[in-house]
Amino acid sequence: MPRIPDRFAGAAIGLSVAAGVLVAYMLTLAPEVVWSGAGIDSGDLAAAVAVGGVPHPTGYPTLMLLGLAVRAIPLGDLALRLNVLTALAAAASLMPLGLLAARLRPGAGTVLPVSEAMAVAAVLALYGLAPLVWSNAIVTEVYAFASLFLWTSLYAAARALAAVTAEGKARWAAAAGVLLGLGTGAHITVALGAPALAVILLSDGWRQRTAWRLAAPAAAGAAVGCTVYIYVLIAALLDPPINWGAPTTLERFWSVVSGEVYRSRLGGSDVGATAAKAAWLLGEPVRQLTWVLLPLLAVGGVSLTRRHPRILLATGWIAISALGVGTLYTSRDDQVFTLPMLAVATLWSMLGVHEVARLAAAGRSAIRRLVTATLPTLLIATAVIRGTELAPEISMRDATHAGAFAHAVLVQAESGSVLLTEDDRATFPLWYARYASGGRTDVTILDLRLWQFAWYRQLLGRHAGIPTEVSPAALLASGEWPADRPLWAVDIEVRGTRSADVLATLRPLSPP
Amino acid sequence: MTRRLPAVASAALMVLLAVAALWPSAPPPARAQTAPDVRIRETAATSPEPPAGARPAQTLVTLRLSSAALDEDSRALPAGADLTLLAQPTYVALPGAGPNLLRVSPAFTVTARDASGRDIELSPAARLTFIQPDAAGASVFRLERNAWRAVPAVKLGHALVVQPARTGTYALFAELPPDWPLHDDLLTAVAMNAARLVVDDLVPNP
Repeated sequence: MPRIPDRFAGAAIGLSVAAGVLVAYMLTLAPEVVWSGAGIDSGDLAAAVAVGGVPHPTGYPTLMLLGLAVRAIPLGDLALRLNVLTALAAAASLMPLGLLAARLRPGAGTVLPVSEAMAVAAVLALYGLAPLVWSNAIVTEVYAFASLFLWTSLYAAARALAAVTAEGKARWAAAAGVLLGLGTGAHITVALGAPALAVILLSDGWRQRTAWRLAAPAAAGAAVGCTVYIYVLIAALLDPPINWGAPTTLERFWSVVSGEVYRSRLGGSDVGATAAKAAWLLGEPVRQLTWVLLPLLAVGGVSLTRRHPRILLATGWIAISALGVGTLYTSRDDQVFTLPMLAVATLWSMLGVHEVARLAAAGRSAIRRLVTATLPTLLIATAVIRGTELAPEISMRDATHAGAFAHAVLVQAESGSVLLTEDDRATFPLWYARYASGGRTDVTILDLRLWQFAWYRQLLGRHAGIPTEVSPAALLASGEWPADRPLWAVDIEVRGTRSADVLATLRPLSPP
Repeated sequence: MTRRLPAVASAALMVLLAVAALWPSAPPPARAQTAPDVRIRETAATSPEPPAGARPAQTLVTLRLSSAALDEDSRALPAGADLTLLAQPTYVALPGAGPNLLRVSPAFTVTARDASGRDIELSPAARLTFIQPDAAGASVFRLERNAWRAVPAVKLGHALVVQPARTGTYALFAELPPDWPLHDDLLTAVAMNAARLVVDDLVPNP
């Protein structure tokens, strides 16, 4: 039976699955910014990259910096390039999971049978093809980057634990900290990985009072990684047209990077509704990864308990904290906060495959042959069927409507028009079309929801030269709105979940 | 017992996840968007109200593109009045009934009421006329059970006439080239020559 050398086992599994799902991602990739599915924010993020600005809180500096690098590549539409970047990050986020599973498997240090590797790869593929993971991988979003940095950080922590020399341990611990810090710049919830890192890195040294030897480099690394947030400050000082919160003072900077504007969405539901939501989200691993993985997940949990209890604690914390955030936070995409829980379930399931293979190898040859043949076949078939079934449903290949809407609106807008919006689906694609595609510098997009903020009115006053003391509606009613700035209202009506189900209309506003 | 604890815990976890996966109802999707959706009273009314006062028959009314607005406009009409509604140049360009079939006019919801607010219905002679000089291959669609369905329309020069017309939501659709949305010129031309809707022969209910 063919076998894979131990040192290549994790990389072989991770790379092969990453390459496979990347093909699926590219085949279903959104061609531009979108207004449906997981990517409603794509217009905001892409527009912010286009102008070197600050997108909605928490500013997402890691994505912005990577985006600026992609912006420098003169190849195709910027939004498409950013979508490709997201797909690459999502595929790459499978690598640390593959590497971790190989390092934690029962037979680590020995060769890995190819049939076992294929079964593990199929489990990892099921994660990559899970609807929640897939839909966030094919349009510009932050969660693939968050996952990549979180799990690479945990892998580095596991390497620190296994390193032989003190220098090696410190180096890997510092790397884990840097990656975690960078991860918070991808999404703030990555900070919840800090206790997991602490459990992995510090539990040995705690009793011997040597914990600082790993804690210090990890903390220093995290501090270095968090310096990525300096981007937010620098970008804001340059006064770009997309500059959420205008975080040029310490107070405003903290407001943006801590997501102050969204804090009211944390909690607030009654106990019954919260419990029902938690119960629903707890079922996500099974719904997203299929029932096939459930017994493997349980076996993997037993394996971790016996062999790597601190990894069990660390990953358990990540899963529970993700469930907690998903439960307590209320937004249209709160389900996405359970992504780390899915990754944990995948890791445990991969270890479950290894454990089952180990038990089978210790059993009679008939059982061994049965497991060797059946398990990979079942899992690969599940992954293939799952991917084939979901592809048409998840695909964003035809999601051209947001871009077409924004482009056509700007083409037709009268000179000096001010477009009033009050829906992300209108504002963000219009921002992208206005600031990334160029051409209509005379047109102003005015989001009525953001009008409540002084920083937004000041920004519009500086960039668009429109009156900001009183609302456009009030000025229009009193006949004081400037005649050379025609006002149009953009209405959005959502009739379904597909890109084509959003009805957008533009209507002129005229004085009474 | 201690040796069996992990297995027992894992079995319990498996049962818990299985039960949760069978949880009967998903929580309703939250409506919160990225931009904080706090409406400001001052800016809430972005649509200025039309001039006050009853409109005489045959008045040209600027149609605002919502069923509520049209309904409100119709209330002010004397019973049985002829009404001409002119759609402002507008933009709606979304697939509605096929790969290259795009809505190029607003969705006109024809709701008819008399001056006292009573429902009235269109007589069999009522007709809807869409003026669509540049919308090649245009046809009129009616919204039925959330799906757009083509209705018979007679082509008269640059006009498409639907008769008899019923109350409901109508829109003009046109076929655009397969390379849409990159064909900007045609899209613009079509959108800037949006439909003209004529509603007449309003009669009160018995």
